[in-house]
Amino acid sequence: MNRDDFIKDDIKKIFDDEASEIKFTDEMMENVLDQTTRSGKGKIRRILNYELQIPLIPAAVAVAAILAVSILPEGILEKQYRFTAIEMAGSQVMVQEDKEVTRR
Amino acid sequence: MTENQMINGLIKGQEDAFRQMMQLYGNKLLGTCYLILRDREEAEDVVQETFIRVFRNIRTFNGKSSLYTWIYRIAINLSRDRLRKKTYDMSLNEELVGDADTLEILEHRMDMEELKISLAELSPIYREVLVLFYYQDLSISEISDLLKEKEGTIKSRLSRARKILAKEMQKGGSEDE
Repeated sequence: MNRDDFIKDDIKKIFDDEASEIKFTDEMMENVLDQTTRSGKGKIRRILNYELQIPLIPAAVAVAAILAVSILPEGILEKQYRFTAIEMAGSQVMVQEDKEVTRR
Repeated sequence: MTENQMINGLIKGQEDAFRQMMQLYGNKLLGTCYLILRDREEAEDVVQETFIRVFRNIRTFNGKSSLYTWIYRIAINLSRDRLRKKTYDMSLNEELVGDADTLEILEHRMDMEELKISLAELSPIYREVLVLFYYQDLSISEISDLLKEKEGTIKSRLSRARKILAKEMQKGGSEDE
């Protein structure tokens, strides 16, 4: 069906004339805003939807560092050497003991 | 501001986005509701209620239709509720179907005042499609999407509406002679 049918222009003109009598006013707009964005719920929604912009790479590094500190056994990153001096033929030989890495 | 930016703004509850939406759709939406409801105050209430519902339900907007269609659907449904409350007869009127010859004769007898009266007296279900088709300039497919009815149903309603108008005009013309 196209709009070139009978009375097309007349119907359109009547509708346009009738609708031109009525406008969406600033007062109506303010009324809607008072009940939506400016209402208590609207303000809460805006706070909840506040966009936090966190740089991804530094955040990922920070999370990895926190995980590493909390998961890895205590002292694993510290170098601990224990040596025992043994007398052999008038010389001292330094022997390094094995290091236990698990948590005691 | 693009439509996507506006939708994001609406989701975040930004006042600017709401202002823009109301400036964009307010007048045309109000005109449409007024033409369907034929009551200024009711139309103003419906449009304001529509925008409030948009605010409350924007998160449910899934983008399957345009924002424009989604908003219009809310407004049309609210208008229908109002009409039902006013106990308008929203049932399909099967009577008053003219024939093709009648339409041809009537083409030369058009009288704006008679047409105005006939339009005012038209059942809301037909007036609704006429408003969307002629005033809103929507296509059959857009109206079908908006009203969630089959395209055939919309075509049929438009055709019936035109025939009812023609018949009413014929009555008016006959009385003058």
